[in-house]
Amino acid sequence: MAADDEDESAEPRSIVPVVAPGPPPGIEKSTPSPLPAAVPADEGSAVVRSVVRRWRREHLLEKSGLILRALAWIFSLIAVAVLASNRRGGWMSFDHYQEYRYLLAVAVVALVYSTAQVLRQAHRLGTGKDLAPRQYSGIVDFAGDQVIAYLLISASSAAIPITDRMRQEVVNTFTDASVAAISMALLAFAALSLSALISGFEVSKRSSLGCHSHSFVRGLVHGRRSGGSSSAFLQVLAAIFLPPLTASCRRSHRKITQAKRVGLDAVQASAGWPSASDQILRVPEHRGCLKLLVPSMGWCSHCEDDCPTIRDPDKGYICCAICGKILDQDIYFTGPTFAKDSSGQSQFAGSIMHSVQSGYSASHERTLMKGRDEIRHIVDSLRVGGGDSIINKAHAFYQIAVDKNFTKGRRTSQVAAACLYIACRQTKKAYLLIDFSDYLQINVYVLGAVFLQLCKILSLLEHPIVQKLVDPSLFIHRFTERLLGRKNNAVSETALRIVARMKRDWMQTGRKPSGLCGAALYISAHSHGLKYSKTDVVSVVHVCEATLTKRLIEFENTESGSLTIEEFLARADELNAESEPDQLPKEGKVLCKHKDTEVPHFAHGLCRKCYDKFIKISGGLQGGAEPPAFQQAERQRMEKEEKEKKMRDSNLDNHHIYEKDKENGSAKIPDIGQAEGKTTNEPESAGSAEDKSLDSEQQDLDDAADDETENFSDIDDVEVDGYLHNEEEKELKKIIWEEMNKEYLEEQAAKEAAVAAAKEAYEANFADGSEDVLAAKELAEATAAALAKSRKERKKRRAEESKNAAPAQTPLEATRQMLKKKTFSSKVNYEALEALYTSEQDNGKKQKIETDDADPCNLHDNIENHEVDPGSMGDGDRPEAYEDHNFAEVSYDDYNAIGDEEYGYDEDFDFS
Amino acid sequence: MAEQGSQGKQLLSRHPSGVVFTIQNVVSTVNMDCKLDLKTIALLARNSEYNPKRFAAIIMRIREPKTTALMFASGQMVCTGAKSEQQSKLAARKFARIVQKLGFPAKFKDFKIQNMLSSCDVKFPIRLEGLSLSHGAFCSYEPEIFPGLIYRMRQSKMVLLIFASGKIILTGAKSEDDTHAAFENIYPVLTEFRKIQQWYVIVFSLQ
Repeated sequence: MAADDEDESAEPRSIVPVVAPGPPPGIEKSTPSPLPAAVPADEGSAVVRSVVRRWRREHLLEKSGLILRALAWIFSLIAVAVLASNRRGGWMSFDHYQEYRYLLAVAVVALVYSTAQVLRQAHRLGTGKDLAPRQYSGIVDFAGDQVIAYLLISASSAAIPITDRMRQEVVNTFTDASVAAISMALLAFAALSLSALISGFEVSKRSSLGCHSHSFVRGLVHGRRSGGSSSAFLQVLAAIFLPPLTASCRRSHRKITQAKRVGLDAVQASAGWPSASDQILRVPEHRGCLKLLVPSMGWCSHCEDDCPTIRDPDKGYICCAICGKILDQDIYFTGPTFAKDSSGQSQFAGSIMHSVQSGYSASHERTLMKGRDEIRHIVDSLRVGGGDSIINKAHAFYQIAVDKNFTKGRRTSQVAAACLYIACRQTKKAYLLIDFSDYLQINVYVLGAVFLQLCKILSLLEHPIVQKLVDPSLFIHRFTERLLGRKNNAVSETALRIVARMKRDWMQTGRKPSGLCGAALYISAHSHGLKYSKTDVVSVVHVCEATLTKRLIEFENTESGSLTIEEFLARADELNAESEPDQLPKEGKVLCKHKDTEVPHFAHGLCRKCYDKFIKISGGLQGGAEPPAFQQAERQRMEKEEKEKKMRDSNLDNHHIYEKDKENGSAKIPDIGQAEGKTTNEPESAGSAEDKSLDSEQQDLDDAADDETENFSDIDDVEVDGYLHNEEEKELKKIIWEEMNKEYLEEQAAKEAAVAAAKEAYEANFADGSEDVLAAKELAEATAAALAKSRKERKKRRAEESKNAAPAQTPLEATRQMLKKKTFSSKVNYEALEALYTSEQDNGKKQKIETDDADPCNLHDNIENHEVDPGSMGDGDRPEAYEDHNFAEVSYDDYNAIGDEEYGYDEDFDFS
Repeated sequence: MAEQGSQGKQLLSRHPSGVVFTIQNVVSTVNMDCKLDLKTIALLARNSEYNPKRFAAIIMRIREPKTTALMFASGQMVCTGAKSEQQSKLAARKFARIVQKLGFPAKFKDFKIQNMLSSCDVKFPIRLEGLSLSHGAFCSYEPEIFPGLIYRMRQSKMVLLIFASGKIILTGAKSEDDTHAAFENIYPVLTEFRKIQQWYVIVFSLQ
């Protein structure tokens, strides 16, 4: 399977012999895996699959055309060779017979024609460019195939009777050769007629000429039938090929409806605008031209004349356009340089640039450097091209931002990213806001807000840097590179064309560029046999998968969605080839950014330049599908209209019934509309009086001129009462509200008390009544205490505890108390602590114990120890060490077995 | 719906371009000129919310006209949600009446419409790019951030959101006439960049 896949992807350039006309059985083979299994089989991928399948089929058609012509070339070559060499002397020479001469001439013509066709088609398959103009190539193919095929069949049918007669007389090499030549000519005819079918099919698809080609094909079929000679061979041929011919005839008929549409599109193209892709392709040349056409003049010491100069902004030099001498270079040195002046004295060269920052403090410098580092980080990690120049640009923005205090209260990284984004916009770097927000791990709209605010601060909102619209096709190359991991111009090219078409179909206006680019890239990659899942594309362009699917479906719904890739590219080429017919400038006022210059008005309030840019970026105002949002709005409008119509009808009916019923004398009919209105509008307690009053209120409102009073007599009291609680409800709500706002109420109460107390104290101070002062002070203290009560209480409790606790009797107790005060009390292993202190305390006793009653077992142990270590006996130190050891051992045992008294006091101690 | 319809008829006579817009929201302020005890009001009024920790005003709602008011302790009131100037005024008066009924000496001073938001549909697609190019000084069009074009009028201080689908939102008006004037100003600009329908598209859509 893998190998098969590889074959599939390699196939478009290789030539596979296909004999059958029309969609040959090879299609089934070429379609099975246009998508990898990983791709979910949803709508979007189905769209792509169908598009890709169609594109493949198209390719196959072209290839089979080439093969058929190649066959015709071989057959006609053989026919020419055999016939031309058919001179056996005497009567056995072909040039004695008109029929053979005619056949030879026709075979030569066929040979020349098929040679030319094969070369042309091979060139087209190889390079993708057509030698003949695209709009005529189909007709040329079709007409050429037809004419040559007719010539061949007429020549061979002319030659057949004479050969037949000769062979009745004599059968020799001459007649054999003639028969061979004739049959070769017939085979060539068969090949060419089939290729004529294919080119006819293509012509019918491509333009409104489809109708003619249809009749041509039919004519061919009829001609074949009626003009059949007596030759059995031809009849067999007709019998074999007629069914497929008629079938393809029918098929082409079906295609004609579609072709009409496409054809009309072609008409539109010829009448209207160059395609956007055309514009994109032309840009670089255009720029180059500008550079050459509008040179500045400068003195060239080599040419010794004023010469046009060329400035290369990338390398920073200005050179003579004639001899190429570098005249000037934008290079700055940081060190001092010296040069000799006219009097031969060495002087300091250049000028010192005073940086603005030199007047600032070190911390300011640091802030700026921090921003610069941040910018550099982003540049490095996003691999923004341009190196220091772009960093400098962004940093310049950052400096102004810092000067205007924009960085205060904002994150450095966000401001830095916004600055860098502006710099990217200025230098047409293909970076979107979402790339930066993705790097910073923040919401794109947060960054967007920072960006817009920054633009405002920098007064850039009306500046061309920000005003300049972002062209989605700018991003295609970078996205392609990120998706494929390498550059692939073919994929980018197709994607660009798709984007251009999307623009024409109003898919981009008001949309994020990333979604469009993603859809275009997805289709383009699949059409080139590269299998990337939607997830891959989504991760590259940073849109959600649903968005991508939506864009794909939208693209399918446009008319390009129903084209094959060949047709699609052909359309793009057509739009390319047909340059916009010179539109006459219309009268009007220039409103674009060039409005203060002398540029003449072109159209839509734009000058020529802006208009071209507009067409390029947006795809123009003409034609294309309706924007999807508009379609939706239209649908909603229609639905609404329908609903209203229905409503009206039903109302009419109701009315009718009502009238009828009235006539019938039934007095009480519930008016549905009215009843509903009431139930929905009324507040529960307000009576129906409200409804009535409402109308009158509205009428009265204008009359009540002096409403700037407390006179609300026009407001209905009944209604207002409906909004008020009664006593019981009030109580209930009070309970609820106080419960819900408990904290607030407490705080409020405490605050109020404090304020009141402070106030009293203040007043008392003035009154100077000692009693009052005292009371007030007490009150103030009390309230202050109440405020801090909760915290103090705990403290107090602790203090009390510590006061009340008896002084520690033993070190253990003291430690215990100390530990308890600390927060880590629960983590202390008190038993271990006990052990620590008991062993120390017992030290004094131990000595006694050790000498008095040593455990026999212990002694034995000691002895054993002693014996185990005989070498240490002689050591002076050892016995002491040994003794120490013994102490510990004994004391431990003592503690365990005997020391109940010592243990007792521990039990007395209150652990809690 | 019915309301819209009737309003439409009313506006059509004043509207040369034939496009009718609907007022969606009116914001007005009024001074009741008396100190309010918000807690009392909160307990006594039925459709009121008062969460002092979150916001220092009572939020009160009435059903007819369907509006919401914010009442501050200073006696200032903001009334939102009405669909016309008259309705906004009526609603504000009703709120004031409610406050009065609760025992405060409420007056009705300095009633002012602060903002009107209306929407309309010109029923043709608009190329926002072109608009942005030709009226750059007034426009802000960043499809990466917001799909619509933001058009700020200099004189009337109005802001229009223009969408590719032909739907327009006008805001910042102090009166209905402001909205009218702004729309009449912008309409020719929009038609300049409307999608040009090809005759055959229409023919084919009919088929």
